[in-house]
Amino acid sequence: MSTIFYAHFFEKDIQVRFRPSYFPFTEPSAEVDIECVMCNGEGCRVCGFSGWLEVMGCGLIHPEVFKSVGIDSELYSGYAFGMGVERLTMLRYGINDLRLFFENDLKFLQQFN
Amino acid sequence: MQISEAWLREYVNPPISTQELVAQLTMAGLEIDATTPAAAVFNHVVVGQVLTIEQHPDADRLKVCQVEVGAEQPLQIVCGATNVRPGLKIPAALIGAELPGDFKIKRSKLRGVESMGMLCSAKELGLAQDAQGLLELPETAPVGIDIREYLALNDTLIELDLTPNRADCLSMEGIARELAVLNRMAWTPTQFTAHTATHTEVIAVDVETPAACPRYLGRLIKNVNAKAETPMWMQERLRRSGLRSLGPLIDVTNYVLIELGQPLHAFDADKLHQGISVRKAQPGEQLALLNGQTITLDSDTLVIADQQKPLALAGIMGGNDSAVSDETCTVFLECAFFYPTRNCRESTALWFTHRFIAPL
Repeated sequence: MSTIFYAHFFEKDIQVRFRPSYFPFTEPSAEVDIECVMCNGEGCRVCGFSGWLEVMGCGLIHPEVFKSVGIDSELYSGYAFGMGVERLTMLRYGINDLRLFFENDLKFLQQFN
Repeated sequence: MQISEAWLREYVNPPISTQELVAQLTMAGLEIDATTPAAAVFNHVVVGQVLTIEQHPDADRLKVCQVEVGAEQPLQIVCGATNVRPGLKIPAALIGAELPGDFKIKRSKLRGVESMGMLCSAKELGLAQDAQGLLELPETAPVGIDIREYLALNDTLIELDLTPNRADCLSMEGIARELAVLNRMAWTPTQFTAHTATHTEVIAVDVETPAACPRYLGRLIKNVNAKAETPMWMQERLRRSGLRSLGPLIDVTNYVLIELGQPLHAFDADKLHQGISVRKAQPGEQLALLNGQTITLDSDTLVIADQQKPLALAGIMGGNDSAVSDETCTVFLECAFFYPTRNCRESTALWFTHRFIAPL
């Protein structure tokens, strides 16, 4: 699913990998990396010469989290996905500074139609 | 955390490339941020020994040295370093050597005196950001052998970004264990021989808070030479783990921490006033820490104290007053297990980062 999403988002076939990770509120947890869109996985400064970019954290909601809001984790389970919208936009449009998004400069904003 | 691949492979050496090893650890949940070579690219640098030194006739700061490099004849090399002296072993770049920064060594004349190479500092070999004078090699270094071979510089530094649930991998042994499992291989933990005490003097240890400190071991080590040079191999391993060499006493404690994941702390025993106690601080007590900061403690903070005052923040940071120095003769070595959640909370309160390890 995320492979399809990223392929659509970046308008090209893109390698996606799930990598085991850790978050206190999900179990198991994973992070999603995409092939670096700047260097196509060759390794560059943007991806720290690893060829991969971390774009999302995810996992199955931890039973303790359900317990604290009164949901029976034996009956329900849930996916948790957290994607940085700004980060993806930066990668999609090759924007190198996150702050540009918050400055509300119309000249900047009107480029996105 | 940064580790040396060559050191890791001494524990367990799977038949896979660096790239495969990195991918394997990453996909096992030990994310690797970056890999870098242990030394910059250079060649034709060998272990040399300075035989004689003469003042350069036309330059105050230059010396004309005869350097043995294992060739038929010693080489005449002009050198400006202040620590150059007869008998010293140093890295010598030969004619034709290529040093980091696209720097080629050619036969040349320095103010009219012929120079057949260059004596190198750690910085010139890309081993350190900064260096004062030539890199001094141990007296045992065999003259003539390639410095890359001698210092085992063909190594990769692996930078791990460990998640908080994987404190078991905060050591060479931890990562080796993981790598062995991933490759279904056996691995050999570091083998130790117990060293029995040769004196009977002890320092009394009183653990007032056994719940916060289930285990506290100490050893009084006498007649240490704090001015001794840490062996080159240990300095190199520390450097590759991202630590500077700070004298043999600190180096040994740091080395054991990296190797086994067990924090140690060395106190200067001559600066202790009677026995050690592990206790909660009294509100308002002050402690000057090793990082130069002086903090005021509250009753929640666990400290190591002598009969007069707190000496260290238990398991977090040592204090200045009891720290080892070049003058230290007697060391009280602490090896303890402090209950982790306590440390996390205090570390946060005191703005230190801290992670915990498994009890021995």
